[in-house]
Amino acid sequence: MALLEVEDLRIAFGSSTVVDGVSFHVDESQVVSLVGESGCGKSVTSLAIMGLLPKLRKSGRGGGAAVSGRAVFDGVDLFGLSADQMRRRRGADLAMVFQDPLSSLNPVVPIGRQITEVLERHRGLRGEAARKEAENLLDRVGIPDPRRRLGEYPHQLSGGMRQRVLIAIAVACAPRLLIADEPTTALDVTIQAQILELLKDLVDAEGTALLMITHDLGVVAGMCNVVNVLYSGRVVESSSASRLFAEPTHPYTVGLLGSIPRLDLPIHEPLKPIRGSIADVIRWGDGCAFAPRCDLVGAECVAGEPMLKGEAHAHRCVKAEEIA
Amino acid sequence: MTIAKIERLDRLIEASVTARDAESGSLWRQSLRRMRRSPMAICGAVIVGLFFIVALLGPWIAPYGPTEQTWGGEVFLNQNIFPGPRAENWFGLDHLGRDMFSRMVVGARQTMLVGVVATLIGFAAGAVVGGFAAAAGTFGGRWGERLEAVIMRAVDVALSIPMLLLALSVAALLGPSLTTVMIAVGVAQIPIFARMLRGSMLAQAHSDYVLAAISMGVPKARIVVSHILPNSLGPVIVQATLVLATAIIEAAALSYLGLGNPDPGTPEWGTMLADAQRFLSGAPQLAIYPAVGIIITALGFTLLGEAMRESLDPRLRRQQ
Amino acid sequence: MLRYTVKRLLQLAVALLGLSLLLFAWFKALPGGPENRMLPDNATDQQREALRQALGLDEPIWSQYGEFLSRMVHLDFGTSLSSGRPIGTELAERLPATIELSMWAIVIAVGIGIPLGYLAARRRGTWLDFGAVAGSLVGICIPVFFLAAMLKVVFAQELGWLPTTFRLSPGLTYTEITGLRVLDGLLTGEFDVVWDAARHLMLPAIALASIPLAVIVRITRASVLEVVGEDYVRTADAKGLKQTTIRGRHIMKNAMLPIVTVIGLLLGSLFAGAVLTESVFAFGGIGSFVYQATTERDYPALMGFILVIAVSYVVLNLIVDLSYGFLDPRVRVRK
Repeated sequence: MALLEVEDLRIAFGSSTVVDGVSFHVDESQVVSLVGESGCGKSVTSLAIMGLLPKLRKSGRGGGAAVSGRAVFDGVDLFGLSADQMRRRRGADLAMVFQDPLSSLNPVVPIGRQITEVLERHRGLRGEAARKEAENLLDRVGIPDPRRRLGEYPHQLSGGMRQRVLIAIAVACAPRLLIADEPTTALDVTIQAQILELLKDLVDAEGTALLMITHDLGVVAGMCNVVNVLYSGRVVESSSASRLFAEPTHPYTVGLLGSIPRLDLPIHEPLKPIRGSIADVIRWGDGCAFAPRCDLVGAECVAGEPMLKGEAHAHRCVKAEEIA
Repeated sequence: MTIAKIERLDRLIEASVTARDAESGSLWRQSLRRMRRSPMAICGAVIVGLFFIVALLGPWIAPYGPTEQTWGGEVFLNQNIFPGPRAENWFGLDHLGRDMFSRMVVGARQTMLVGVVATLIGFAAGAVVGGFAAAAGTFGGRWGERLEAVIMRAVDVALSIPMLLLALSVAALLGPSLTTVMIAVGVAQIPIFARMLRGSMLAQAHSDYVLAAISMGVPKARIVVSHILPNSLGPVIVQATLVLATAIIEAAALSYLGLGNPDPGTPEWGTMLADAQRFLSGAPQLAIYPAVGIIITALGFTLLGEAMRESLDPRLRRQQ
Repeated sequence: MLRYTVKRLLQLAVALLGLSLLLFAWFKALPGGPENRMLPDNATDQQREALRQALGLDEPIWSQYGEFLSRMVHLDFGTSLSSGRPIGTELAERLPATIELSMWAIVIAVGIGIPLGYLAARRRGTWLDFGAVAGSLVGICIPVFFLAAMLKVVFAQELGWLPTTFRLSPGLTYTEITGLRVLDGLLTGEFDVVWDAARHLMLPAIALASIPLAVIVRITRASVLEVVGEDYVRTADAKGLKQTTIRGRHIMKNAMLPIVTVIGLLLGSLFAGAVLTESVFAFGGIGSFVYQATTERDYPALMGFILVIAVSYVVLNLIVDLSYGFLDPRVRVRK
């Protein structure tokens, strides 16, 4: 059975639907990714699973998110839990690493305290025991001289160090599912590889499942088992990583792959960016949302809602056979 | 692909694109549009508008002269009992038998004058000091920077003097009069305006378009006058609206301390409020009319200023 | 931190020096000059000259400034024209009353303002939020002396719940230690004094608290709204921390920085408000003295007051700045 089973997730802010019926699952110890451009709904999906979206008020005002669907974690629908029950799971059973390590750490609290508070909350460790464990954690995420670092503040650390601290906080209580939302986007290229390596080592060692949110297929290639490509709030292609790279089916996936520089292509071959932007959208009900940007667009593309087809390698393109 | 289908696709795309364009427009037009939707801005604008109308047309609206004594034997000064509201005197009579409604309406003009002149004094002097400091610091080289530091230190010292004290000192120099109140309140606002304009100009000076202008060889003085200054005025104008409210309240406080207008011929709300303190337990209405006038007017300017600030603040805009 | 403190202290010295220059210029520029105020109108030119010499007014301006400075340092402000007593003594006697009143006003403003501002921010868009914002907008628009007078008329004169004037009821014996009467009463165990002094303080403190309260509610609300949207609060939420922990350690600890700055800036308007409030309640503090000095054009007394208030204001702001250094590690390390 899957560790996390997301079914027909829909998220709307006011009248705009950001996630429009997304389903995927993450098995134990599996590394799954949600891939797409910014604005496709991947981060919102992860926040919804964590229960971190602003709640909708009864009055309906105040910019809350309307979430429907199910997110079954370990047999329990997370959306059915009370705020308090969810609070006890967050940080313990599911944890999250965020995109921008500087703004994600509290600037006026020493990093040691920011680690021990989660140990205190979920593992009941206090005082010296908590400090000792925090030191261990910093050591595990590769921060030298951890004892001294405990008393320092986020602004005294480098970007890569800060991300390591965030990872240490996330894995502090040995969660069964770790969600990483663009964990390397804000970092230098050289640091990116180190952080990915660290994440991979940590989940491998503990058997933690990892849900990786990214726009970078390069990141996906290195570490993910399963890939879900999102476009405009829907999954447009879903398959194992190896098959997706070998035979991408949806034109959007093809386009994403085409815009990555590759060593195995002739030097003067230009990159093929996808034209337009994600804002050039038509509603899924009217046809394929990607149609305005698609090179292969045809009349059938705007003749009603395209369905997700296929089992192991699913895609949402009516002209898939033509492309293949 | 049939023509009809292509047209449909085009239409769908067009619809989504025009929907987005409607949201853009220039900064000022955008904020104006937002303000038209904000109840705070509307309330403020209505109050301020009414206040200006009354202030300008006051003498023609008032049924009596502001100093005209309309009492007969009905005012018993010794017992501090004055006629309240009635058909011929809507707000009743004051302790000298003068029509309160007429005095309120005529007094609005003086109150407006105090607020506007005081704010203009603070705005003009503050803009000169702050603008000069910012220009010197940005383009004046090493000596300019030092000059800026000295000026801003002085402004900080002035800012550290409580406003009423500054006003008190000025009033002590010039003796009690309406002009004193205007100058005193205005001078007290100089440091605030200087700081705001300088901060706002420095932020502009470090922006990319100024860098672009420098790189194209536009003369420095020209950059300051025609690029930096106009773009920095937004927050300062907002501040001016808020200061108008403070000025009216401070003017009342100075009047209460006996530094205000000693001339009974030209009524002014602050002076009226201060004078009425003596009769507070017997005839509180004498104080309440000018007090409510001051509070509502100050509230109007505050609402308008706050609404303007919110609509201009890029951070708040993003949240919407 | 030490370097930061030293730097701030040096800035303080420069600020005070600048202030003394301003005051000196102000005093010299007063209408008629001091010699005219001390002599009858029909004084002869000889008398004037003699007095000018006695006052040192014919000496060069810098030595006059030196003289002025040394007198200020020794708290020698001369004699009050209205009461005939040394101004230094007069101020020293009255200072505790003003300090006590201001302290209670700040306690009220902070004690109500911060929780209210926090609640308004967390329940944004509700009636509570609307009420807090509207109330604070109206609060800054009410002239303090009018509010004080209305409170006095309603609660003291009409309803008779609280005393109208003074700091203690006549006939109450009282042992003075600090001059802050509620505190003194607690220290000596004279609980009747505590109760009576508190009743006398209630109305003036509420009136004086009105503007700081309004400002603190607004700044707290704005600051909390800003902090709540920060990524680190989301991180704290993602850790599953208790709400009390998130509120205290992650929201309020960050939101306090602008609030503390604003409280420092409010102290100025607090002193000004004290002048007005005390005169309404005949509270017997510095405020009442200044009210009298102003209405009677007692310039030496006014100058003494301005100096005392300006110095205490600058010093209080230094304390606020230093506490800022303690609150924010970024300030602490940078300096």
